[in-house]
Amino acid sequence: MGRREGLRILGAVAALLFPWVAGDYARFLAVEVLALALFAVSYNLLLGYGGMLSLGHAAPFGIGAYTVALLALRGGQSSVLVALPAAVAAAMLAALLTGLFVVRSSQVFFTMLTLAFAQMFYALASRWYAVTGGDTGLPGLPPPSLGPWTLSSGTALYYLALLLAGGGLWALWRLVRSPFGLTLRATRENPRRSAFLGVRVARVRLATYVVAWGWAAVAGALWAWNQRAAFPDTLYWSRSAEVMAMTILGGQGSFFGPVLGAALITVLEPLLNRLWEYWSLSLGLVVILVVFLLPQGLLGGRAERRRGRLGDVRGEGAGQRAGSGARSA
Amino acid sequence: MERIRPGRPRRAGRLAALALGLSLVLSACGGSAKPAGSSTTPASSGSAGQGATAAASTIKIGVLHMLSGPYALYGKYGSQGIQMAVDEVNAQGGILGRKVEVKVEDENGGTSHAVSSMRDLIQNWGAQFIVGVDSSGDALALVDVAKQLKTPMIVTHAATPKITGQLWNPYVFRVTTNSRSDAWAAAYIAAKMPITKWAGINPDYEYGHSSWQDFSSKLKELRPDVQFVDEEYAPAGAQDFSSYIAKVLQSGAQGVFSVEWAGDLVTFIRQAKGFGFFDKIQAFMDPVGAAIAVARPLGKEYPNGLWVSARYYFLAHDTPANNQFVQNYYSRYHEYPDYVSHEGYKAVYMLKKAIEAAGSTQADAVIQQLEGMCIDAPEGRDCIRAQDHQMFKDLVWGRSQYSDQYGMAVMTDMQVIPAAQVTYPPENKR
Repeated sequence: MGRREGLRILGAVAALLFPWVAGDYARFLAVEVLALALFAVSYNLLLGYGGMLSLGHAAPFGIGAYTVALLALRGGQSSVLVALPAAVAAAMLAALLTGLFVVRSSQVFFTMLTLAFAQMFYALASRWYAVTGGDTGLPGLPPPSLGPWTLSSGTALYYLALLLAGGGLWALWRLVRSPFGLTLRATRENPRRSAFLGVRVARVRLATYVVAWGWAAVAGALWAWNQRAAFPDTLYWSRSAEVMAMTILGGQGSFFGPVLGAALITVLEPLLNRLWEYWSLSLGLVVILVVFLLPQGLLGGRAERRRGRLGDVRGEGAGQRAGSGARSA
Repeated sequence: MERIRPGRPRRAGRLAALALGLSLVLSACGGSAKPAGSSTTPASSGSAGQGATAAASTIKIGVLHMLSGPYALYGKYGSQGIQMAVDEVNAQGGILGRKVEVKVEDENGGTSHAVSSMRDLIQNWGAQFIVGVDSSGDALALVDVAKQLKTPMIVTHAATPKITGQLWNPYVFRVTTNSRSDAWAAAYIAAKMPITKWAGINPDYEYGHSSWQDFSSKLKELRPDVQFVDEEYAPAGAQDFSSYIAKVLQSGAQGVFSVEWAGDLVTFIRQAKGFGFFDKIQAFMDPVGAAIAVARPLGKEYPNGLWVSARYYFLAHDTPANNQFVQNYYSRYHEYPDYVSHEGYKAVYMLKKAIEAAGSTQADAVIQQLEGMCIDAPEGRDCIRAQDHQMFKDLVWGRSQYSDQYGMAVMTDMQVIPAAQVTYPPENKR
């Protein structure tokens, strides 16, 4: 235990000191990694814990980005304390409205419905020139403010991102280990049996959906502050696919797998882009390799091994014990 | 109690991931059809050249161009022009005795990708200046990055009037004409035609919408009797223009104005020919239709008699300077310079002149020199307006005609719309 504690403290110190040793671009990338890590973990709440394969998670991300951008550029309000709750509320409201329709369907129908709703939000953002700036988006976002401070430096924004992503990860970690989290996993494994046991499956799924959208909006707001803009491509379906790739690359069976996936893809992209022009080709190859060689993702196997060693039935993430066919044990 | 096993959703996830991976691969391959050539150009490979040996004293120019996707030919031609100028400058001893280094990054892949690429160039690679930018949509966001990172940026292609208008900031310069001047020039030509019913087929983003707005309002001003019977907008990268073509034909339009460009224009022309479009209407106008990036891929398929222009045209200036430029370019790349090649080439020389006049690469000093600066470019003397950093110049229009000599359609019956007619008062605040 001592070694793990030590590693954790070391990690925390490194995270806190990072902006003082890193350059501007590394700080920019770090904020992007933090935002996308939160985005991916919120997505994994749906996919890994709820068994809901959504292709519409770009929607809350974009809603978060557009809410803070619209408040700042059209309403002159760039306080984090106002913009962030507004972004979360907007996304959760949208989740509630669309969730009522999607959570009752399963499998491919769920996927298609989430995609359809997300594309509607995309159409709204890229068409409604008067409000959203259309396909140009909303560039020129001023830095956010927190009380008397304006977070204009990369370092200040990094700490805000660290706080929000850290808080979000902590809250989601608590959530998946709570009785609610266990119920959610039960509905994933066997919805019918859960219903017989008295679980209101649709309601559990809807609550999960709303929470996941809320945290995705926080990620989207962070992303917009970092980019100093909101673009329609934050809402496009390819972003939903990207977050899915991050989650699967890192390991949907592990709570922290998506964090690793988000970090890898965010850091690799500019690196690969520098090496050759076909960077999206290499990204695709990496995803395919991982799916074939490490179907549990990069961290999924680790979670499984640890659970096997410690006999921890309440291990991280979803039941990842491959093999035996006793699905309804 | 949690003895649960991986269920079906996981398999679905795995399948979806596979599909996703495959589609990423396919999209990369699909996009590479055209840029394949660009990976062999000196522009792309030249960037790595100086690498480790380059001391801190090199001058670094970061280039953003479309290297993949439907606009990739422009990225290729633009990078070629820039690289040629940089090699010439280095051969003559560089700028202030310092070598110039260029690095080209791909602008394609959405606005946020372009923003990240620009940040990478400036904050990571150390670019002191940014040159290029093809998409107007990207440019609107990138000018803000230039301001944030205090890095002068010379736009050589993106044509939205806004970046030298309402979104202007001191770091942004444009050394080519913008879409308003282009559209106004088209209106002057159109006003002389004996037709009254006009329609538009334009790209469905900032550039297409504002160009149509500028063209139709100017034409109405010059010819109050014209009518606008239809306006169509096709998504960027559209593969299928047939519904827009059919609608315009049904509208009874006699003339059609379009600012479709690059790969989109190639696709559009091919499909429109299938409809007999160019025989049914009396005039088709495109301010960027004379681009080499369009004429080369179409070859003999290019219809004759279209009214086209380009922001620089290699055959329009029979001067020693231009002939030398065209000849050097041709002997190096075995192609004729496109307008983006010329504008990129010119941008490098403008930076050289400004840095030498300022005596340093310091951003504010260089900006001060660039404001109101004139340069003798291959096409002639070009000046940047001090107030809004916009360049206005004479625009040459002509009619397309296939030429065996050049192996592509070229402009004939050329006529000049003087800069004075397409110049408008500054719209920026400073």
